[in-house]
Amino acid sequence: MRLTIFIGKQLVQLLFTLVTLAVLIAFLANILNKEEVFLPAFWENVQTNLWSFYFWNELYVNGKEGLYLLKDFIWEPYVYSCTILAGGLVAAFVLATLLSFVHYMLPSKLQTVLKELLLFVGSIPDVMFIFGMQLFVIWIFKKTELLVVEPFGLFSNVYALPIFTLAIAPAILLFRGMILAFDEEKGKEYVEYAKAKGLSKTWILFRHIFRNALVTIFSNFQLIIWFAISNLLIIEHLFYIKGYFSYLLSVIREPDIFYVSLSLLFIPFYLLDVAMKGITLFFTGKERV
Amino acid sequence: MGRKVSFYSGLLFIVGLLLLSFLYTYVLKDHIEPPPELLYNDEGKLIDKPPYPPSFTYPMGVDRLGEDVFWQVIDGAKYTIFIAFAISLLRVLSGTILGIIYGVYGWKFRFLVQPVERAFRFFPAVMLVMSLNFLGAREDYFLYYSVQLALIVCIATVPMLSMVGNEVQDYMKNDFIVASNTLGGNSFWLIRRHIVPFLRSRLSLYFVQQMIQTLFLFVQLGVFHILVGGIMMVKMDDEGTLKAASVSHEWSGMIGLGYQELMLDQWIVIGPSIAFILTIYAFNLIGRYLEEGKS
Repeated sequence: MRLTIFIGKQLVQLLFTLVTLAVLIAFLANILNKEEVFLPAFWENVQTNLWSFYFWNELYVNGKEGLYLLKDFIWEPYVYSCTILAGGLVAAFVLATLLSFVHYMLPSKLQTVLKELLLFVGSIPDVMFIFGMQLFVIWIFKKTELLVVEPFGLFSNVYALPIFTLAIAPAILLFRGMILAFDEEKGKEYVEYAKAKGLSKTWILFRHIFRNALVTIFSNFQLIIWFAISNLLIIEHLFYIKGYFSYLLSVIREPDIFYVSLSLLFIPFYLLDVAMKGITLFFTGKERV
Repeated sequence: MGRKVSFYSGLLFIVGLLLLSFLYTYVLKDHIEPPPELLYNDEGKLIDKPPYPPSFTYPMGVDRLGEDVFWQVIDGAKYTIFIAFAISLLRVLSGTILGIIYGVYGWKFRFLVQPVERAFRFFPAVMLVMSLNFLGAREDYFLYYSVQLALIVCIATVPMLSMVGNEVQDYMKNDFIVASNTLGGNSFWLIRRHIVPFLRSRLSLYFVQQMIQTLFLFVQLGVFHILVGGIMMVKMDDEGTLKAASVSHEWSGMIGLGYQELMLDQWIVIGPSIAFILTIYAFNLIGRYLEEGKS
């Protein structure tokens, strides 16, 4: 029963969000348009946006050689971008876990150094990371004639560099969340008890603290996705990747197609987030905002 | 102790940068010699023409038009920081005021506010501003820049409103608020006597957070050639090739427009990049002190 209410609530929220997106895009499409009266044009645009879901099978996009069916056209960039996004998130998770493990094992003086260092790394906009890495790869190439990884996606699909760049920012965010969660768990009785039993630090971390802290991390999933998505836009642009965001930018003049395409990206991530929330609710019994 | 030192060094960096920037525009500009148009060595042989790589005389190099990048960065500091300052101030003000209203009076409607917040957060901010470039005409510059500014403010107001609303709602669960309510204090009394004093201590933190976010956004916008500091066309060579340039030497513009030169003359991009990183780091130091208190 509780689960049904939960799912119902989430579906209503999803619908409201999609309507808001439609209104937002219609608003943007008309805000600087001087030829037509604002309100009627705006209202018509909202309707077109919402109806475009219904006519989803009949929408066309301008491609290299004439018109393409939307659903055929977007499949390839969609998969490509999602691969990078998923890869980036997994890499961020691994990186954050490793970092917080190192942090946990270090003496407290070095812990401060590590935190200080990460604060600085977190201050570097990812645009500059990308510059730096592209320059570095090319510098190596100039010195040794050895192209370690492909620095641009002009000729083929690149994965290594984009995934790594995407991972940095969310990894630092996750690391901070993990440290907070670890510190919170550290003082709890079960950890004291485990210590008193003579279990090793590593064992306690992985069997107990990590598992409990995972809940906090799951509930921050949405925040990390937002972060990653806005960075992916930049990454695709600077690496010349022909991914979903490059496609989105190319249809920005056509509000209805733009709206449908953006929603297609939004819905799966929303459902994933709901699943995460559901898991949290199931394990802890409390709903986090 | 250590935190306090880093807080003050962050603050000092920002203030010093701004002072130097104003000093440059009003005093130093006339006294500093522009880099020579051609560079000769001791024997009088021509060795280089602009752009020059970084050296002791020109720590960040000289760009293609023969201007010293270091002083450009210093000159641009005030525009970059003050535009970000104005945007963050507007964000914090609108977000806090609306957030109080939402937290106290509008909490019943959170089923409506939450989806709106989610939509705003999901929509990449860069795309929001970019759509303006494509969808609308750019004839009326004043209208264009004010709408652009409004969009940059709005994209953060909505998430901020929700955050403040949540904090207000949490704070209202305190016993003394419940007691005050029972004793006959109405909502307006609560806002005036409890919520505003509580939020006042947090405003500076919100502001610094918004400042950091805005600076990050500027870099991203610059990459897409959307310059908050204005854009102009400059003659590149004698044939009259035009090239876009940042009017005010505002940093994100310098980065975005110099990107095409990345593989040729890196220093044109690296100068403003360093400036950005240091400024954001300074604000991060300030923000951490405000967040964690005096510990």
